[in-house]
Amino acid sequence: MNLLIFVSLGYVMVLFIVAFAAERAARAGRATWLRSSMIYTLSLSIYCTAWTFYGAVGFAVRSGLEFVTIYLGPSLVMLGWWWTLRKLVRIGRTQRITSIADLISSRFGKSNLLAIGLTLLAVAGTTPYIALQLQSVTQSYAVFARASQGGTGEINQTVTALWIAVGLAFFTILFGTRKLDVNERHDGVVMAIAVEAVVKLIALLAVGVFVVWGLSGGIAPMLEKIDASEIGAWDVSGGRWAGLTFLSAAAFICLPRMFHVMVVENDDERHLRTASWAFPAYLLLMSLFVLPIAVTGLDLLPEGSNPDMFVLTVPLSQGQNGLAMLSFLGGFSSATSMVIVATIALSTMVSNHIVMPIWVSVTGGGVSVSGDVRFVVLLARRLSIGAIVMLAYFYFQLSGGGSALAAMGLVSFVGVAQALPIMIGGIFWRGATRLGALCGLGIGFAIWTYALFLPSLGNGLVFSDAILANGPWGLEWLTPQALFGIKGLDPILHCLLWSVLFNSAAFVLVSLCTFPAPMERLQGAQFVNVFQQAQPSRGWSQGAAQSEDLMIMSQRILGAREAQALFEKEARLQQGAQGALPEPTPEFLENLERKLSGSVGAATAHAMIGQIAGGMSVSVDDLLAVADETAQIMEYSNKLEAQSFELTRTAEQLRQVNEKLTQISVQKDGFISQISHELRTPMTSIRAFSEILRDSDDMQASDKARYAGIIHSETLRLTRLLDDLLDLAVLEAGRVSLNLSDKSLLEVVENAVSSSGVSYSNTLQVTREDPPAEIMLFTDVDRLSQVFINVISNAVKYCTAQEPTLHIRSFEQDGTVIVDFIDNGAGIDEDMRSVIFEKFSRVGETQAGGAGLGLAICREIMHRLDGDISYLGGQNGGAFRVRFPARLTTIQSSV
Amino acid sequence: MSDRGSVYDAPDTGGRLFLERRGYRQRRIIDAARILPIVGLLLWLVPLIWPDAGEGGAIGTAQATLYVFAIWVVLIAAGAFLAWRMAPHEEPASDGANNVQGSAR
Repeated sequence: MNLLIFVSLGYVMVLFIVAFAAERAARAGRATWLRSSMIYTLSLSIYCTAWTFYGAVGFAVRSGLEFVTIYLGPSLVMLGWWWTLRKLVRIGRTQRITSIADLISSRFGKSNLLAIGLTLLAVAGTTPYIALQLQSVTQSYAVFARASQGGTGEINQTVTALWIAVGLAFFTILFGTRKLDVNERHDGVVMAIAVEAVVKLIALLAVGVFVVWGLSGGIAPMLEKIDASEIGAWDVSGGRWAGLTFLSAAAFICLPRMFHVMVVENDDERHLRTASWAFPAYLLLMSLFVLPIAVTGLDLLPEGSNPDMFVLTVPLSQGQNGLAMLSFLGGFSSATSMVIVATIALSTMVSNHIVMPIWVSVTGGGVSVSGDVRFVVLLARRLSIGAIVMLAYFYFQLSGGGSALAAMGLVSFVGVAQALPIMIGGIFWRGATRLGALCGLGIGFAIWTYALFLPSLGNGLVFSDAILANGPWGLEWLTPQALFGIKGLDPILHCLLWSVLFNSAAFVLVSLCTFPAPMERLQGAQFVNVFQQAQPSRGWSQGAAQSEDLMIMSQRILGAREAQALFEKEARLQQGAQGALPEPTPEFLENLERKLSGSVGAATAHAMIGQIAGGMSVSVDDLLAVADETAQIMEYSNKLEAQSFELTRTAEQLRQVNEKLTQISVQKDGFISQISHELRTPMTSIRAFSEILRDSDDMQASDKARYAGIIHSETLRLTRLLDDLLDLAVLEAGRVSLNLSDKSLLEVVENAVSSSGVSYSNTLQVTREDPPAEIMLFTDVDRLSQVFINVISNAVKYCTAQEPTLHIRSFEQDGTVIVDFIDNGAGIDEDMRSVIFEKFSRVGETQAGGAGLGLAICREIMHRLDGDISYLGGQNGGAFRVRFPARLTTIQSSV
Repeated sequence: MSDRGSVYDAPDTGGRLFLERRGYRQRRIIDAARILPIVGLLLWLVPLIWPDAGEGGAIGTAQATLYVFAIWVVLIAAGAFLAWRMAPHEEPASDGANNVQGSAR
């Protein structure tokens, strides 16, 4: 007995050392082999608890080959990894899922109510299971105690169980709550579990080999013995066979501890591929010798021996104490590894979904992650570990260790299987809603409690015999283990059938009838389409999920286009490919932070990036809230920006006007000096000739007449110039009054041609190309013909051809009349074309002595008539185009 | 890193109608991996139609055990084969690559 305690303690010491060494190796970065597929597969073996180690043989004794269904379900799930597990693991990694409650609450819009419900379900379902482990270890102790002291030694089971419970809690707290982030691997724990997986496998195989080859003489005799035994006849209930296979498959996915090792502790998705066949192989080995051990136990041990302890008692009865010791360690390993992982998983759920929300609401603490919050979380986890183990201990005390191990295990399985419909629905069906999940889970939980869990506590504890037999208040259809009057079903099967049926039905129906909140829809899309959204490389690095989050946040702050451009640029830099999200490398994060700090300030940007890149306890809701606030600030600042832009534009306009005024002032100066010059030239000759006439007495009459003629013509020229100036001034000032009247275009052109005198002289040949239909004008025809005359007389003056001709072409286009005057002269040089309409601009020093105001006046007139006059290039000669509306409606005022 | 991702996502067809030989093979292997658990389930449900003890042609537990375990072995072998074929030209020990990923984040 003392030896047993010594060996147990020694074994625990070894586990401690292994766990410590693994933690150290992980910290030192030498942990690559710790994270291999093999370790992952072995860590999955916590599915095989003491229940399977000891209880499978008992199960086989009671029901024959049926025990194997408990392993067939998980084998199928693992082999079908491509369907479900792959998606679960990917979602777990991208969404940084910490537990099954976290998964489901995240899927349904981060509903904490759902998380609390699942946590309660998990605690209710797992506590009996932990009690079961305590019970099996205590029982195995008792078996040894009896054997070593000749069947007289009885141990105090209460004290033993308490010590085991305390030891397990201590170990779990030590290695399970070192890190706050559950997403980081617990290397020490995982390594210890892997070692224990090997120990229990070797122990069971050793007992099996001993039984088959040592006691029965080989495989063939063993098979004969099986057939000859009381379980040799094939008598399996089809319903239980299929039902238990389904149940074990469901539990394999939904058990909190399985979810923890399979999804949360998963380090690399490729491990799943290896485990897909390696774990079924492990299960096969674990169940290989169960029947032989059961048959041998039935054969060798006295009637009434506890079949759950055959794994221990068979070697002991043969005097194989060493083998029995190994077997005991195997059972011990199974129990401890299960308890450790289960309490880690449960404590995470309890602290994250129950304690923390309460703490936050009580202290009013914000969402900021500071040291004290971390401390609170860790403390909550440690306390919950202790509380859960103690709860299990009290359950063990309460139930008195009476019920068969296997039965309790199955009750647990049915409980956690209630999470299956909403979990599968959640990851494959976008239409699943939070209310649907709540209803399904609630109904499933209620039926399980009523129809299986409470009755399983034993008759008389909660339900009296009368209720169990006839239903409450005599309502027979409510009889806990025969709902709706269906009697004779196996209780497990009965509860599984009704609970899963009603659970799924409520889930689907309510989901169909309700409408999900935005957060639910967002999360639903992310969960269901996890493979479409993710780039292939995404699942491989833990940071890829963050890129998505960063992208969403950046879009809310920077605006979609700019954020996308930024990310695309970074992706191209990193991978040389477009379309993928960039890895959140430190450089990129820095870059992004800088970018964001331009919008929201450095401190906020740093906090936000920190929350996504390294943070944990801030929900997306909080981030969205911050981003919305930021968006409001941005909107406000956008308004300010618009106002300041308006101001800038006004200032710009003022500046332009000022510039124009300055220019006009310069022009005016130039104009005055031009005018003075133009006036001065005729004045000079008039003065000179008038002085000659005054001072010369002996002048011939002919000379006198000639000088007087010069003076007269200069005066005329002066008058014309002043007329023109006056005309221009009136036109420019907009004070001209238009004399609107009706007249046909043909008439106007004819008058202009005849007025300019070309029809009488032979100086210019005029050809006309008139419009097909008569165009009636309503405009100031006198002004218009003034323009025509001016253009025609320009052609007369400046056309340098041998036989000058002028082609006048007129047509109408959409109410606009266009008249072209094209001569066959040299035309106007390109660089002069822009200035010919300016005042006092003359092309070259030609024989004609105009003041250079003609075209300026034409331009002003045309402007008044809502038209324009322009030089027409590319016509093999000088060409002017006059364009004006046929019917003048709006009168242009001065610029 | 991206080509390693194709282990877990069906190779992207990029909207093309026909795949090159390797991508095609990869997809059929994934199909096989999908079918495998269904085949296993059907085979393991076969015992349900066996006659019970006492009826004519009833079989013993030993025979049933052999049947269940034989299927188990076949499924494991098939699963291992598919898992091996699914890994496109990886080094046999994935540990090294693992490390690279661990530090790349």
